[in-house]
Amino acid sequence: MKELKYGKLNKRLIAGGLLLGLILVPVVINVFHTAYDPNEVNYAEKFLKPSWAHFFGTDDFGRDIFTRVMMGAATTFGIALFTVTFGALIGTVIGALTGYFGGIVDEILMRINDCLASFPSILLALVVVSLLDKGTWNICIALGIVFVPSFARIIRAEFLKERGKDYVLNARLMGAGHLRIVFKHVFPNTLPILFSAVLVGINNAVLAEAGLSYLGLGVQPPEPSLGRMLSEAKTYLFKAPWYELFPCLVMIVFILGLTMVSENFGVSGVSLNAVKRKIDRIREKSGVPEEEDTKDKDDLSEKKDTPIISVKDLDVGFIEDDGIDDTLKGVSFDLYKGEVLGVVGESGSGKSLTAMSIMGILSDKTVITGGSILLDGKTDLTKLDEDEYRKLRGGRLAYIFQEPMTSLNPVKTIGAQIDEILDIHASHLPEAEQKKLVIDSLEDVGLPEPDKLYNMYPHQLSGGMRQRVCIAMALVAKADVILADEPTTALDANVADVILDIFKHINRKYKAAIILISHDLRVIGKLADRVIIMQDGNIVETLGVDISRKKTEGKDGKYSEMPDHSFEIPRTQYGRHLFAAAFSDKIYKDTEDVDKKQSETIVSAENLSVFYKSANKREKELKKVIDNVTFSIPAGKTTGFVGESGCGKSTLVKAIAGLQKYTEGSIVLKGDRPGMVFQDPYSSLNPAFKVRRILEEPLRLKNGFGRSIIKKNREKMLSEIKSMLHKVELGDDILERKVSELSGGQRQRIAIALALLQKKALIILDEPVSALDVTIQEQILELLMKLKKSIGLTYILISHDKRLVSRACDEVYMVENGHVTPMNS
Amino acid sequence: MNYYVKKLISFVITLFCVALLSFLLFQIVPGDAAISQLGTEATPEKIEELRTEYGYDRNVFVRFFSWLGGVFTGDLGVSIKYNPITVSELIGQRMTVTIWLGILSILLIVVFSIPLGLICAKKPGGIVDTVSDWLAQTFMAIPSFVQGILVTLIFGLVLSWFVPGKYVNPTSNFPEFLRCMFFPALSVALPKIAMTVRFMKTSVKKELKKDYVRTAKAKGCSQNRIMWKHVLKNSMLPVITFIGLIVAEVMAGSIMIEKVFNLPGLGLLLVNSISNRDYNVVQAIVMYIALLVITVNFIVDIVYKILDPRTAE
Repeated sequence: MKELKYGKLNKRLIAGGLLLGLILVPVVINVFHTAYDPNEVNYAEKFLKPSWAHFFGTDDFGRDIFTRVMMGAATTFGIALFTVTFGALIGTVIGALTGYFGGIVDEILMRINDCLASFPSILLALVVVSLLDKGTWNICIALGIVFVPSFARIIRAEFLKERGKDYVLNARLMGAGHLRIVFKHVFPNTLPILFSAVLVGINNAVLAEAGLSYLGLGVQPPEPSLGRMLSEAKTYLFKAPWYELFPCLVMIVFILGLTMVSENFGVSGVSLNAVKRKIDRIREKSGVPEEEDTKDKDDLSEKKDTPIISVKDLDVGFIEDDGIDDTLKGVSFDLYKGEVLGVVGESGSGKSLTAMSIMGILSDKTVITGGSILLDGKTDLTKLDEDEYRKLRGGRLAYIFQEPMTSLNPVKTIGAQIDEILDIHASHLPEAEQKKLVIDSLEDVGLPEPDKLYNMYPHQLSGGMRQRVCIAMALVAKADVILADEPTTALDANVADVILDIFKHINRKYKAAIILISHDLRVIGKLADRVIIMQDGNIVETLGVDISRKKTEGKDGKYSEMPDHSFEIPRTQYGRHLFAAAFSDKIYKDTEDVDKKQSETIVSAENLSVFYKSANKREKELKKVIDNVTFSIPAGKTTGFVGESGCGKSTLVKAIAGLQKYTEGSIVLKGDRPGMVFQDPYSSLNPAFKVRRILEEPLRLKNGFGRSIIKKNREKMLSEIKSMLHKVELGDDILERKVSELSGGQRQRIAIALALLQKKALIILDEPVSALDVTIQEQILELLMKLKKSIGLTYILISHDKRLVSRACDEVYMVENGHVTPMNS
Repeated sequence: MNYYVKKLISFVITLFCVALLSFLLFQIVPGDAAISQLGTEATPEKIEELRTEYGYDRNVFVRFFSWLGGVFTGDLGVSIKYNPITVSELIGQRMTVTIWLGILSILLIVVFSIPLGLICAKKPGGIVDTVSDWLAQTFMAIPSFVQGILVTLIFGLVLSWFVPGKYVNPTSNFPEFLRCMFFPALSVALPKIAMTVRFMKTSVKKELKKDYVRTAKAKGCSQNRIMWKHVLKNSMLPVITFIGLIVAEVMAGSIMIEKVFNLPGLGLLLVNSISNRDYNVVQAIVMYIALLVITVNFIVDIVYKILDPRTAE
């Protein structure tokens, strides 16, 4: 899909470039060679029409308009270029420093900025010009000053966004200084925005010059500029329309070209950013947390009588520029009344796509190319017309999405949103009865005080409660097929269990058939009667329950001991793989050399408290996240910290890494600052760099980063990097790739290599595998443990996953409400 | 602290800073007004006399606060050029013209851009979308005074829908006054309509990608129902803030357009006063325009707060 978009935009880029060339080439030629003297007065040739001798005709003084337009354009564009360069240079430095460092200087500058924004920009320029007196240079300075705030604002916003990202923390851990981080690490990431801001700026400067000239405060006669010609020509609109027309056309074509080019880089003249900033401020002041952007999901999409749903040879394709790319290939399965069918697979395997096909809510770019979906064995959903289908959606078919935080409309009450389903599907119900049904459904999913909830808005509810509201929507219309797409993935473990219990409850009570989609076999194991395993748009196999296997041993002794599920043994390689990964009991801790290094401590914390300063500037108080904890971390082992999201475990390890400003008590670290591997490999590696540059950074920092030193060391660095890539089991070919071209597993390996290149003895692993697919997870764990043994590393492992921690760690601490307690297993 | 109290405090602080800025800017004028007014007749005694009359001999802070007080009481001294006419006399009526021009322009922007933006977002790549996109881009590429000239040419001279240069006093015949203001307002609004349509379109398209739209679809809502009942309000919220930000641009546009149509508003007075170096008047107009902009933005922020349930109490 990316390529499709790219190709289309490139056409606009080329068209824009051509338009710009059309104007700029003659302008440049004209600077060196002109056919007429632009200022030569010749009354005999007054107001000549455009002809071959005078392309654009002549003006009231008989001067050649073409020459004057070209000269004027050179002046106007020159002024624009100068002012924008001036504004961009100063604005970028101010924006970068204030955005990165924040604090009181930032606060004051933003206030000044807000004040300046209250003056219409032309007014400000007018005042400056009137104070400085007229003249070309003074216009440049006046407009330049006017542009500084807007550049500062744009760059500041970018730095504010970037500075919290993990790659910045990573650079700090490497020992890079703040200025190096600002200009070498973060700045390259803001270049695309800066570039388009410059283009938009030139556009505005050209218009501003025209405006000033019109008011008589711009370029002074006889020197031509586009703006001056436009205002001079207006007197002769009827007599010599070409006089007005040509300078205007030149300006329009130039600006159109600029706009088309700048849009290609993502910014239009319309400032979404300023609006977002204002809205954030209003929310901030009202104490509403900033809304997270809905993440683009990689996920492309997803008893013995007549099956309620019967999918046969379903093919679904994705429309590409050059045809259709098959994503689902011949998927067939049946769903029976009252059954819970699990669908498992890694991201991109097509499980959501399957569910969305049944629901008929595929995106515009996705089409069903073959097969059928039969409802009750007779209605083919793929051939249903939209009106008929709509009656089923939300009626008999209900869909529950992954993200409860964003799946509800933020500006409508809970009651109104559930009510809507009855409006659509059960019209003509008396209002009171309808409301009662809604409240009953809220009660059914175990929500307290449904009467009050009815009038509340989604943001007033927790994630778990919102997901229950979504389930209530399925109940109120008495849906008999519920499609639950990763319904618990976004929730904390204990909340997820409650949600699964609710599904079990409605399955029993209403005999609703449920398709439960998850990447996590353990979730499916808790609920499903059968499970379908999907890979690359195919169903690999379907497993039923093996009652006899419930407690007996399987052949290879791994998944058979699981009490978590009672499925048959997978027959395919992939199925075994998936089961092994999900239910693996592989223990990664060393059991033998426990005594050898027992005495040595690499980190010790005493009476440590860590505070969190809210990003909300108006909240001056520090929040205590970690409260007076004492622990020590032995060298050469893996120590785990486990807790649910928001318990403070990440804050705690950031304090160990020296990345927290506000601490009390003591942390003693033996040796260097630790290295860190972050949860999200998408943000912990600088997206502006290639892999080679990322891995060179620690070496550059160590050996010095003067140009000559880097040159001298190039070969040595390369061989060091290559041997490290070898250690993390990656090929050399990855060196010249950008981070965005790597898979999640590859990125995590690079992140590990980055920590090892710094020769760190202690590495903090912050949820190192939870963003990865299950099969990849095991590979990364394997690698980590191998490296630990061969190099003699110490790990601190943070995770929400108790099972993972107990498998991988020699010692485990439980983090809860800011307290840390050792867990004995 | 209550949101409104906080907002009010920040409004007052901004107001103060803006006033300080407007005031200080004019303290760096090369050679003060007294000299420039006297011109060649300037003798040291005469200059001193005038300086005392205008209060230039007082401490700069004292002058600032007395001037700030004047902004609210309307006592801003006399115009240097038209002495003894006072600044507030000069500004008084013209303010009405500029405010009405602004109100009409904003109305036109809202009336045109919101439905157009919706239609464009509903069928991206359709005829309406493509045509309005090209028109919008072209309008944004033409300086506003040229657009004013074009409006005069087309509606005034060719179609004769209004008489160019005609102006009726609002106190004598208000409906006729509004009629005279319509085409100038249209000229101010045109480039901003172009911007707002695109903003509205982006906003709607952004909302259409959100999860709740998928939920609505899964509930069985029709396309129209999704648009009207779910997307419209969500996508309007940022547009409200956007229109607040555009007010500053509308004021900038009206400075130009008042000159094109020869309307006796603040903009025309400002331009003339700059040429006359009548800094007392320039300073006052700068302050009042900024005051208008912050006040509108203050109101817009409060309206937003009330409309968005996430921020309403």
